[in-house]
Amino acid sequence: MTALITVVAGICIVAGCTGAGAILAGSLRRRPEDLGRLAAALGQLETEIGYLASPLPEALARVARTTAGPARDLFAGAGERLSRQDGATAAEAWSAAVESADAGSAWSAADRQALLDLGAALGASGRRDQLQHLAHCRDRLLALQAEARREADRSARLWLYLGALGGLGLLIISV
Amino acid sequence: MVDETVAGLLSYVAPALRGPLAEAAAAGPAWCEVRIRRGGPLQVVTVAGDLWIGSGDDPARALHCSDDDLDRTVQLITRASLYAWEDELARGYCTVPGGHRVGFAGRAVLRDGQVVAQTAFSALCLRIGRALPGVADPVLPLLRGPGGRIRSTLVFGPPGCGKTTLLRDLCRQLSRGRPDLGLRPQRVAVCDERSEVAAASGGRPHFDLGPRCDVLDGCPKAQGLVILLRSLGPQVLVTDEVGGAADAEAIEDAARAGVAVLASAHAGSAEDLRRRPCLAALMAGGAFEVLAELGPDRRLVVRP
Repeated sequence: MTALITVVAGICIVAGCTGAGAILAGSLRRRPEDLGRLAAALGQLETEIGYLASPLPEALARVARTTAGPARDLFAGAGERLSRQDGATAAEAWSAAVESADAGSAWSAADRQALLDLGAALGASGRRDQLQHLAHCRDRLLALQAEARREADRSARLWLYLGALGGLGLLIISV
Repeated sequence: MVDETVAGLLSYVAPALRGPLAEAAAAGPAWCEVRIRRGGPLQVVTVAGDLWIGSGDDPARALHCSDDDLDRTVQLITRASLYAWEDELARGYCTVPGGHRVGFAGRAVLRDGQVVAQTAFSALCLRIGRALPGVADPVLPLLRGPGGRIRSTLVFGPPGCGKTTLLRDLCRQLSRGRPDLGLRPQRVAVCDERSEVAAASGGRPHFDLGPRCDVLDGCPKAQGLVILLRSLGPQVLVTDEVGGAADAEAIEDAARAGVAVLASAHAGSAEDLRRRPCLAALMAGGAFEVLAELGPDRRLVVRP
């Protein structure tokens, strides 16, 4: 009976550690995808602002409908907050939406900072200036995406193996 | 109980100012304007005179507007999108849904000597847009010309005396027709450069301008009048706040084309009107057959 418990516990330890490694690896692989969606969504926002001059609540809601994942949560959240007409500034609505979308994202601190920096300028100047801010943020996100891809190629498999090997190591120590 | 028009306007004011304003609106006389100044007392201009929120008649003891109050009001008016109102802000005003006109004063940004933007806003004037059906009744009998033609009319007066409200009712009544006055229904076209006459939003006029009225929204008058004349075949052309030489030229053109023109202009008196070069030229050329003068007390004097 004791042996059976030991075997089950051992399997649980190895599976748990492998799972933790897989989650970390998955997050590393998801980050470039999330950043790519964000960059594409910002490109659409450039069109909404630069060509259509749509006010932010409508522009953000329309962009949200064309994207997915945390990017959709971010644009939909900020657009919805601004539509409430409760006096929130664009910067406040955007940063609250970044915080709320962050929970379901694989964004790093640098990704979040790039988004928050954009929020400070969003809606607060003329069309030409807005386009410059959006293009700058998009470039930053694309650079971060390239870095995230390299990081994922390098580290995702490593985290997966480390998880499994860590579990085995823990099992050996505990036995 | 705050009336619907004022309640609509308050949705564009910073949340911290809404409560005191709503309280005053429920108790006081009809409002014309709300004035918000950075660090200044909160003022409401009513039909009975100035009202200082929080004190009544003493601006020193009135509720003072903070930086945050003014900035949040700008955010609400522009829907947090200054870029979407760039041209309007450069001109110093915009119109929000509901037909309320907002004037901005800040720091002008110049390019090649022209104002291209405004920043660091210091004051806002929110003027309440209202429909007053029947306000044009004293003017209508004089508009009937020979053969059922409508006489071209210039409405003039100082700012805030109700020129646009009068034009709006003229549009509505002429578009419907007044058989009791011998006025047949007319095809009316409005060149609404400042979006104040119709207060159109998303292609729909906010105010009732009658069933035969078409609106060209946000278009400069000089171009808009020509477009309307060519594209919509109007019997009556309506435009607000005529000022420049180009506007005057477009009105003269329309008058020569056999279309009645109803327009408004800022002028303290008939003498002031004649001192404004472009308006003087229009009057001398006989472009207007009826003059409707509105005084600061909103009293209407009509002269054929």
